Amino acid sequence: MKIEGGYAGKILEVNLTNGKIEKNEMDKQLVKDYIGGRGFAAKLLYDRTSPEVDPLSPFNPLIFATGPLSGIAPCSGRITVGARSPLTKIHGDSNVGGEFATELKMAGYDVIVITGKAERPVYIQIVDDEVKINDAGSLWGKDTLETTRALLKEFGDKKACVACIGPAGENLVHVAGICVDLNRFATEGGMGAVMGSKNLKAILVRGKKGIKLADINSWKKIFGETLDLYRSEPTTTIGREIGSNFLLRTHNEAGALVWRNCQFSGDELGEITGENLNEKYVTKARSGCSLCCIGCERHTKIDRGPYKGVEFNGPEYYTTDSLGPRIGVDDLENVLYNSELCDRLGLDSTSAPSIIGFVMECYQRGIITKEDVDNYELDWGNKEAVTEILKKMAYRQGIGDVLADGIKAAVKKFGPQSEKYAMHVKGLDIPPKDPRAGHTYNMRYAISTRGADHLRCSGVSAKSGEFAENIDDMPPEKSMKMFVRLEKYVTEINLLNVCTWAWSSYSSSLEIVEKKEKYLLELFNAATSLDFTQEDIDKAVERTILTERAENASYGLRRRDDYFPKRFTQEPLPIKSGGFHPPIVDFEERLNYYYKYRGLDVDTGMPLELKLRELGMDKVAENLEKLRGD
Amino acid sequence: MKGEKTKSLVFYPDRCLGCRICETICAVEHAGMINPERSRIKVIKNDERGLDVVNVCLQCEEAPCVASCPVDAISRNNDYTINIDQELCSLCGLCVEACPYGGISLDEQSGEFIICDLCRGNPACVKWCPTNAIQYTQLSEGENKKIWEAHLSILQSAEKAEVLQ
Repeated sequence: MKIEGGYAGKILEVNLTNGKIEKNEMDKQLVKDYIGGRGFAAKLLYDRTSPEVDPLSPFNPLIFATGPLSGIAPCSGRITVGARSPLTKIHGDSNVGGEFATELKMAGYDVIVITGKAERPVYIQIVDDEVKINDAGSLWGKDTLETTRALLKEFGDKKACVACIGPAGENLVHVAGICVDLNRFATEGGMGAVMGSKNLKAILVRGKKGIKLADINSWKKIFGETLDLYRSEPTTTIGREIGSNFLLRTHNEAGALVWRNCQFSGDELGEITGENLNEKYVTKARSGCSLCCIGCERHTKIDRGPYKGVEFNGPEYYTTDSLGPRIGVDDLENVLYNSELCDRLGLDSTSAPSIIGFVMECYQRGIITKEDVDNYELDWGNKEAVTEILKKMAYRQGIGDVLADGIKAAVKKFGPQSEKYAMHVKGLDIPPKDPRAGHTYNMRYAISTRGADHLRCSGVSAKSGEFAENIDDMPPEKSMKMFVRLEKYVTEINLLNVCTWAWSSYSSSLEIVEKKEKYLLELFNAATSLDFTQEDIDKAVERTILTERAENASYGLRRRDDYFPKRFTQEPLPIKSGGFHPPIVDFEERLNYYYKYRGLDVDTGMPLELKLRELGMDKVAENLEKLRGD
Repeated sequence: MKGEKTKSLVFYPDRCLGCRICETICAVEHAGMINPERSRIKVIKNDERGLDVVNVCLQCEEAPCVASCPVDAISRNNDYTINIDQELCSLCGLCVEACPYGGISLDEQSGEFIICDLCRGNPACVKWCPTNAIQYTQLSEGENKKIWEAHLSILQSAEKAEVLQ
């Protein structure tokens, strides 16, 4: 098996405790079994983490994994950041765009594995073959904008890419993200805190070697065809014209948008719409990520009024909902202000406000009083208090110190009565689309290996926010079969490391998904010369999901951990404009079908031995056998 | 007298996403790999201000690069593109300084200065640009330069403002 392109060919290992830097040849078996990106992260974490290793200890590895199509396919500036999560204490991985992945590959590395802990704050500087660990004393305490700016100025070449943490990561906030290229974030699971725990402020990378392609003519042909497909897809136009915030309106009209911590949906959005954002504050549509032909990134600016001076790339619609309707805020300029604030503090701009939404519902229900929350009157929409609490979370002050540890920690603090209002699965908050608005589709929140997550299964059309073949209208058995098929496609996207939005979400039919899937395989083979079949890729997808499941099983996760909060399975979701979505009453049945089609044990949710052996994962099977007795 | 200039690359900054597809295909066509360093068209991005600008040779009628070359290595081709004779080139870099549009750059891997050759009349960047931000069309040199200079100055003032910060 000879790899002639696509991959850079090296894994960079940096041990911050002893300063040792190693450049190892890419492991061919790893490529064959796991392809790249999320697959690499899954395998490396499975091999290198254990239940005894605390997520914030020096022994938790922090992995940056590009995929074979990062920087090669249209819409492909993606990199996976993996570590055992300090927020959920389980498998953690987060995917971020920008140009960092491409730059890293052009410097000659597919993956960076960071272990240990530096004695003092440092940053890693990668310029092709030259890798250095530099002092970051003067950067510690700076926000993400100041850090990026200072590093690029000192380096002197603005084409370098910077991944860094803000104060939230330094203060080990469990919802701290890693900031890439100013406003792109690896957020889920608190990867920023892992970076902070290693005293690692930033990574700067500059690559001038380029990326080789095995078969240039085939690559050109398929790349061109893919661009043509995107040109003809109406969903691409919406993405470019309005950006992801178009979903605020479409989700809200479908009664899916989260309002006030999942209490209802479909209320008047007022000024909180993508259309309004575009008209008043967006100066330009941009490609946040390498080779992106859509350009959903919005350069946003406020020219006058109390929030004058706000200027950044963003927000995406999950942030807009989380800082808006989810916490009762109806002032778009305030949403933009708090969004930029989160970015600069290095705070996850969906998880952090979602936790505040939970606190607000506890306050509404009288479970807590203002004395419990530093004397803030936490009525819905108290935007000044939100700003204060976000800052307190990043600096771990007062109530912020409790909330900084995530939603489960907050439940512990506020008592068992608060638990039913904590909208999370496995410790990660429910994304801003209510699961009751799509009973099949939103099973993704329940089964995701990293906690409630919208990106583990995708394939929506832009028009309705639902998949064109409406999987929710099918009976559970058939619909869960389709669900697993779509989960497979998204995972494949994560392994190759291209954009989930462009390749999956912006697809108007199953036919388009199939076409794109074919292009991905052809691009992979053109770039690498590996001549993989779709079956090879599908097996790598299965291995990845089962490896993540096996890692979680080692932490004690079982079937019960795949459950939704009771609100979603017992209470209907009222829609303000009329009607309601029923609760997910056949949840257990759906979960059973998921386990069946995914090769998982129905009683435990753990991978089936037979399935593991079939995929050549004998070692994992043996490890799990030991757990089964527990 | 060399051939007449009929068409040139025209850039529409408002449409540019900064995706680097033009850089990518240019490098693939000319250097056989993905590497913006080896591209003859350069995307300059300013993320803080949300600006995306492209630098490329405009085949000026009065070409300052030709005039600047002390060893007469730069000349004009029949199709009006600029030719750099790599045998004669002394790598002094005066042409890079002379060009107001950043049209000439050093390919560090080949050790040669490189410039747009319009892909022999069928520019790949134009064909691949997803938003038609670069077009190969007839426009008077004066008009075209006005467009390019306007957005270059916006970019430069943003860069200056950042230096002051």
